[in-house]
Amino acid sequence: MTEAALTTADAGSAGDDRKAEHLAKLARMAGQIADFFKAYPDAEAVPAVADHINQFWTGGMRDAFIDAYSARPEDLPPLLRRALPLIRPARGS
Amino acid sequence: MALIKEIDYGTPIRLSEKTVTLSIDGQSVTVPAGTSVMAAAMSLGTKIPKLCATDSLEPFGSCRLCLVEIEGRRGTPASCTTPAEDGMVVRTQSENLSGLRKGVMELYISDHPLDCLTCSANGDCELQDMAGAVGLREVRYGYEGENHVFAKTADGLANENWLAKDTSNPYFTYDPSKCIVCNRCVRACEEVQGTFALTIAGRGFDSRVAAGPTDFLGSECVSCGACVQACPTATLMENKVIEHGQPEHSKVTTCAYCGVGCSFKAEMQGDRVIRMVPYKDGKANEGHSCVKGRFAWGYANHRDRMTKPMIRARITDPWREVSWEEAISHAASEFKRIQARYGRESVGAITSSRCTNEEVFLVQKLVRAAFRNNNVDTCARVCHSPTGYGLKTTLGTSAGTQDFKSVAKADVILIIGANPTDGHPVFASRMKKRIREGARLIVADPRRIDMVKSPHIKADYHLPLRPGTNVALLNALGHVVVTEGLIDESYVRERCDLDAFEQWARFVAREENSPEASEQYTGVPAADVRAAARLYATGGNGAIYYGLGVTEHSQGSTTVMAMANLAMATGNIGRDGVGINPLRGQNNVQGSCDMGSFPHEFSGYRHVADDSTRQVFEMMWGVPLDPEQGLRITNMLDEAVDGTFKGLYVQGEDIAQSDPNTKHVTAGLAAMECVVIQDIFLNETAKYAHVFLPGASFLEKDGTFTNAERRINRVRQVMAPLSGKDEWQVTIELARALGYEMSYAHPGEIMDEIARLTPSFAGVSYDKLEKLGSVQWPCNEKAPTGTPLMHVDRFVRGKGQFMITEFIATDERTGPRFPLLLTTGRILSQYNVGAQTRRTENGAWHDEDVLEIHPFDAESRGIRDGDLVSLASRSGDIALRAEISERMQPGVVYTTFHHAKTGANVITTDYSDWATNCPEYKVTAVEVRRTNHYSQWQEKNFEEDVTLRRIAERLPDAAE
Repeated sequence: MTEAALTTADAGSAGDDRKAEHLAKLARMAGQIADFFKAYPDAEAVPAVADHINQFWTGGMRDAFIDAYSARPEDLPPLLRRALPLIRPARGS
Repeated sequence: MALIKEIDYGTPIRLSEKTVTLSIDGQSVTVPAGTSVMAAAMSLGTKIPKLCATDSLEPFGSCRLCLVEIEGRRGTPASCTTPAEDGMVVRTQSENLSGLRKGVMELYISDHPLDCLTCSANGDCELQDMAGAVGLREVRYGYEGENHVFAKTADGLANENWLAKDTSNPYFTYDPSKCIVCNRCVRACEEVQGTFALTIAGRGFDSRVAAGPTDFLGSECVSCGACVQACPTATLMENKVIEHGQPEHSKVTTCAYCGVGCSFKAEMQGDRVIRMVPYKDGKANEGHSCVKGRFAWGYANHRDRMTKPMIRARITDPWREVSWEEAISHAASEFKRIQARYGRESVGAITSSRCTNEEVFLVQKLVRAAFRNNNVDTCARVCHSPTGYGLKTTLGTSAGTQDFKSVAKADVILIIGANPTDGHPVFASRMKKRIREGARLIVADPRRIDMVKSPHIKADYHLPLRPGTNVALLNALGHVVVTEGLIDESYVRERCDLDAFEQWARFVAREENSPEASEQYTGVPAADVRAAARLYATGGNGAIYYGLGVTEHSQGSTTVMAMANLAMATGNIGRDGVGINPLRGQNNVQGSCDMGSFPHEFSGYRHVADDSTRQVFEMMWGVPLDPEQGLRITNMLDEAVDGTFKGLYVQGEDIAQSDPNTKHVTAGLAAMECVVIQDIFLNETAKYAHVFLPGASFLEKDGTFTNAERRINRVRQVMAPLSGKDEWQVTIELARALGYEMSYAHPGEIMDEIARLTPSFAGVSYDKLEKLGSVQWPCNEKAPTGTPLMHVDRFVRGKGQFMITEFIATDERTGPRFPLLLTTGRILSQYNVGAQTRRTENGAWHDEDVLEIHPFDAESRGIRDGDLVSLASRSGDIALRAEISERMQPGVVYTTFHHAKTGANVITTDYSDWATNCPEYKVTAVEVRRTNHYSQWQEKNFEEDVTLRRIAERLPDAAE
């Protein structure tokens, strides 16, 4: 990761833009998942959203998402905010 | 090895509980009631002479050659049109019959050329055979009289009865002078193909086979080849046979085009294919074919075929031809270097839905066991991944529920987002046959596709919804079923999870899901939705067939689940004639999914995080495996652009053309340090590659493909790989170079490993496939001969699971800048990215992608038919020709993505299905205007066709 971070850092702000774009995409994907399950009562929807992300996102994607939004969960829609603590970090991280 | 000849019973095999016993030439025979005397005789091995009869067609009784004598009956009835009856006593030979048959043949031959030695049917002519069979020795009438044979009369004047050959079709020739007007071609076009392009023009002696008032190419003819196959003479003949002569041996193999998976006899001279003839015992197609499988296989020997491994350091360098050893060790050392520098997760692979199960299995094994991550995905990601997710969630298995044959028992057919006459033509013919027999039809599609109305086919309801509103429409159908009391209550009570059902029923009954409320989104009149729902729910066996118009949306998975809800609520799963059936795009897209190509699943759809499954694989493969799911194609590209994903092994895929938002795809590819392409051509993706490993066409392979009905069919090698190596062998060598040992002597051994590791394949072996022809998975101890119908007594998951499917409009919206919606798809003569079909004569039907646009939208933009127009979306813009078409609805435009030079996917966006990331190809907001130049992307692409494809020491080829 550090190597990769170094190479993107070379690109300066273009790298930051790409990181931001990548995060925005993850947030959008998570939002779509929450949109599907929001028709269910919270007791079912919250674990279902987290479970979907845990089953289909790589550890790296989950970590990036958790890192970015743990500090500012208010940026997430309510259901996703409640599901955030149930999203599993990558194994070994 | 000999030429495989199926038995021709003369008339179709009938199915009946009742049997009848009769005597033919003194031998007793018992056959199903309804069987003709002709077929009964053939079942004893007695060939009654015939010309107009063949068992793919209903009996016609015109040639008068198959006459027989039946005790107690007057005259000599035709055996093809006479049903066998109990106690019948039939004689197929007598002095009288012999004289009659000779007389008939004499008349035929008096108006037929006697050029047998130089005739293309020499060696395969039924007329010649019959002349021999009846012992014709002279033609008393002579040949000089009025005839259709000679261009000129005896006195040198033009013969008005004579017609020149029609060579307009690139694959076969119609020679009217050889026609005996048996009507087999006309009937094949009607009964087998269902196109009704052919007719008999004129009457009596003037009767001629005609493709309407025009030539074959200009007619409605879809070039399926059924007429050519049915023709007993050289009247309709494959050009390859005319050119090369009759084939001498054949092997049964499986077509490598769409997911129907037709069986063909590859008829050969040595290692040269002469023709591909649909195999009657192939269960998917039962002797039928389409223009692609039947004729468009010439790409296998096209001069663009790449047969030597190549490498280059940078994509702007020319390719350098190298030895296999050098190419493989270079690829391996690059992957190792990248993993050492950027981490284990920085490389991955994409498996091909065009390759065999065995090849795909090895590539995903290489990723998991040699790369030691799970970064493997397959092009099903961009087509039917929502099918897998949606059907697994609701029913418990990631595949269609029926065999193709089941459609013959359907009473109401509901087609959603599929265009079977173009995408799955051989299955469409079955479907059309059932509709002609009286099945009712509902078509939900933004376009007025051919299934809506074509000869002898008319949909009861066409629901022309706005692209992107599938879920709203399906919820409206569900609403009618629930609120009008059309639920199959006993079925739901017995077979489904009741809490989930009640939750769904309450949801779907809400006013916002009524047809009246959803009309504002779908644009479909509520009354039609109500009527269609009533028809589907109450019309008998209801069968749903769907395609990428369902899956390639932001709510693709939701739509699949909504269809499952509807089918479960009406009791339409678990028997013949019903079900939910994905029409799969590529030949082995089902198989590539089954084989564990998804980043989260091992073969047989078992999650990599499941410890017990993973332990079995670890034990068999001898390495610890990663319990974390890997990257999907879209994630790989995102991370490549992001700078963390650096190496990719692409097996037989062309993501630079087929995947959405081309600029994003190519930016991802360009950011990688090692892209390895295994393909038969230097495709678009290869422009961004550093290692090229030449692949093999399906004619060069041994293995299996699995079609849309879960049928595992054998692919048999008919010629040696042009590159000198089997593809599976190359994957093995790459794995070894990466330090992981694999060892198989034959693809059959790979299948044995698949069977050992995959419960649903436990009973599959090449031996069994040899014996049974094909099997449908699950094939194991419980179902040793396979499973044609799924979910028969209970759902695979136990209780059927209703899911709440709320309609959520896609974020891709029209507005003032982009007021139209673009939807993309395919046409009959081209296939997917066109890499194969563009290198055949199929260009005769479709040589460029065009933009179909409704007359209203065209007129308001000043666009005329054939104008070059610019098509722009938020992602990019291209230029292509406009075709004004009332198949479109106003506000919606359509194009295909078959031609690389068009770049249709420059337009499509990054939006994707919420559950699977399957891209939203079917909804893109666009604007169309007249233009006089190609787009910047297209100009750059034309240039890169040359600059990124140079091969050292070779003159640049003209771009394809």
